[in-house]
Amino acid sequence: MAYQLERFSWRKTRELIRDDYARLYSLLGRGHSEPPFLVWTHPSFVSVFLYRISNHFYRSGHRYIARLWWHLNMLLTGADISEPADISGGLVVMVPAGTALMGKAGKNLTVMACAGLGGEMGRLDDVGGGPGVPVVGDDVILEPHCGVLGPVVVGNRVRVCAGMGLSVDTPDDTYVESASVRIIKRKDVR
Amino acid sequence: MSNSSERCASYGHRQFKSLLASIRSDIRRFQTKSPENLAAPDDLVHRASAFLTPEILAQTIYRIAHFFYVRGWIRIAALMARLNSYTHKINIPPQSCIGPGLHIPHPCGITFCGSAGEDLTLYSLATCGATSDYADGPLEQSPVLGDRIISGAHQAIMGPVRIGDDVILGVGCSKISEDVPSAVLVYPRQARVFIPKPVAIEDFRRNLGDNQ
Repeated sequence: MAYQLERFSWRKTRELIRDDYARLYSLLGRGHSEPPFLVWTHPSFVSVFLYRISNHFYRSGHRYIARLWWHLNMLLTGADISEPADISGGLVVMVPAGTALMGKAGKNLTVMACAGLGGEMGRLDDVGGGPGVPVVGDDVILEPHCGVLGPVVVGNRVRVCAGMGLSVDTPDDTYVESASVRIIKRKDVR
Repeated sequence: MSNSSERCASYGHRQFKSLLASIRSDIRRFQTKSPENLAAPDDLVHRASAFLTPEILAQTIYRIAHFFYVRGWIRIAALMARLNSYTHKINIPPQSCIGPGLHIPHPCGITFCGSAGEDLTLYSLATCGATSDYADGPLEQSPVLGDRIISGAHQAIMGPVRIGDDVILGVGCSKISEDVPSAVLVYPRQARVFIPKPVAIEDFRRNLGDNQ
């Protein structure tokens, strides 16, 4: 049986898209002398826009149409943002290619290159986002190549370090740090 | 190691001749990357064949975008970078300055924002860029890489760090956010292997079977 989500009006979907656009615009403009150019063609915005449309159809009960929009998203941007994912406004997927998102997330979720939210083998409990998928709070940052996996609850303002696989509950205002690297002197170079 | 604008000037990225030389050096690097490629003759057919690989096409589009960016045609440069991100799924903003001899064996999913010297190698899904406060970050907030850097698969260099020359960044280095000296290997901590008890495996299988 498909996971049930609250039905959205087009107005609500448009509001979410507007929030996503505004957040991406502010991130793109930061540190540059010129205002950002053609933000609506940026892969991040395109992937999130297509996800919002597919999510709208999913919520309306048109599962096959939702799936087609998801497919279009995969083909065009390479982002696998599942249509049942319940993500609030301000979503930014910095590099959509290779990103996979499924679960429930709060406002201003930042997903960097190849990071993801999703299920883990063997644990299929429902913590509020669907069977086996995580629930993530507001203002969470997923650094490159990290993943929040399994039915875990991640608090607000959490930053998950690059390369981490986070599969435990995490409180608010936390930085999930990974192991440091080893630096070895090369003998073949003088 | 210089900063990005000095480096860009030293490579002459404003000159069309330098653009052609960079593309030629990328093709030459491709032709010498493996014994099979080395064994192939260096004629027009093989050069054209190398040019039409996704690797060299993606690099060429980036080179042209950077050329336009340095000449001041920023919007055309941004459009070319967008074209690259849709066609090859590679994200190299046009402000990034990369020296000749770039080698990207698997372009899909690569992210590079910063400046790098000669003979940079980016293996699959390598990520290099500013922190999460910026999207397509400015060069002042992005890493500066030296010459002959090999960046392994799935590694992430983040923030305004400086990496020296002749550095090998190993596979899966989780995050490099501090300066790295020249001529070193950077590797992640060794993975730990746990042997689970048979009871735990049975629980895992039962749980999986019940839920399917």
